[in-house]
Amino acid sequence: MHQGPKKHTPFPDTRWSLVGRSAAADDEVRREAIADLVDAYLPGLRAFLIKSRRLQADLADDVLQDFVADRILTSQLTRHADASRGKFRSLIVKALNNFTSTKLAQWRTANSRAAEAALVAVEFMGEESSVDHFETEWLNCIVQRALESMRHDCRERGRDDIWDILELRVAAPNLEGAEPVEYDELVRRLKLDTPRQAINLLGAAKKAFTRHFRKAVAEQVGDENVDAELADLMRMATR
Amino acid sequence: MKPRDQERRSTKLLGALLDPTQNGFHPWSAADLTGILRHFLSAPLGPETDRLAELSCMQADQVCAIIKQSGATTFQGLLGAGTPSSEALHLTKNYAKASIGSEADLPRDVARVVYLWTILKAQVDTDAPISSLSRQDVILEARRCLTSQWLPREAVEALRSLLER
Repeated sequence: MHQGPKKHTPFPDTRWSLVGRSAAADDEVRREAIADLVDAYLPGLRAFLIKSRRLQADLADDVLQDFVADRILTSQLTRHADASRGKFRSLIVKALNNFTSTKLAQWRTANSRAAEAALVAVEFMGEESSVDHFETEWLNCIVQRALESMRHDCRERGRDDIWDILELRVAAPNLEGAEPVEYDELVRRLKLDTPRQAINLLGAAKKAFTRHFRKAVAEQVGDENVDAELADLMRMATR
Repeated sequence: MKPRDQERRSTKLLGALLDPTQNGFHPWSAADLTGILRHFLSAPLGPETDRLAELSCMQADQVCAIIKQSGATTFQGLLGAGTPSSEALHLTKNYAKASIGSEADLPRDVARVVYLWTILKAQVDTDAPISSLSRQDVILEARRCLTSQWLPREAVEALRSLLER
């Protein structure tokens, strides 16, 4: 049982090794799948607990550890996910929400003053906004993976120019709020002879990112669900 | 960046990159458009030969001959010539026209200026019009272009000079 708030520390590596080994006892493939699953969804689930359920960070980490151990490793949750991987985000966030309510109720019943103190607020904000926090954070992770994959690929192929133009004109302005590098500076840095080269380079960068983003999404939801998932993400991105 | 904006940074990026209704990138600023038009004008014609040929459904060697005959080495040289080659202007007009719809080679705003500039130049300085647009329509559109704040000074002066003749 939770022993009250403690100084915030990230999940220790050993804890995740334990999670991995526990699952490996059942099935190697399952272990890898669950490790990937946890890796992909953890930031989003943590954001959900902190921003929607208003838990303090260390308490959120405790809840998450218990949730992974109790519900993902030992329950049918991941099997449901196999049956409908594209809907797994909804399933897991609802499961976590229910799990959190139960946990908080248990800690309150135990009348732990320390636990009470850790709960800044436990009012549920409404499903839409709560899921929104989770999905946004999940999407951030996918985008970061796609960008990292593209950056690595461009470097390997000696096409730093494709990565650079995406970073300077699109990624940094949108992700970091940076001013996009002006065209004149772009021409100087990338040694472009004509505007057509700049436009073509941007087009190549867009195609490359789209390809890597699709791959990153497919890794999460499976090839068979990727088109539906991309359409769903586009709705998120443009609303 | 506000916290909520920061949180939604990836959705902004995806909106910019994947939304089929957008060109897909951070929009060009006024300073960018100025820089792009200047870059286009100063760009050598040589590397654009294949693209000019493709957009006018011609052979590259034919285009090379036209460019050579025009005596211009850059688009600026062509548009500023006292007696420009109407064939070379026609090639440039087709190049610009292709980007008005699709932004294939130039941003739409820049392409529109180049397109009207070539037609106006041909009407004023050659005996061979390169467009079916009437002089009146071209003047109207050129004046509209002149209201663009991003238009570089040298382009404004050149267009005004053509309109006054």
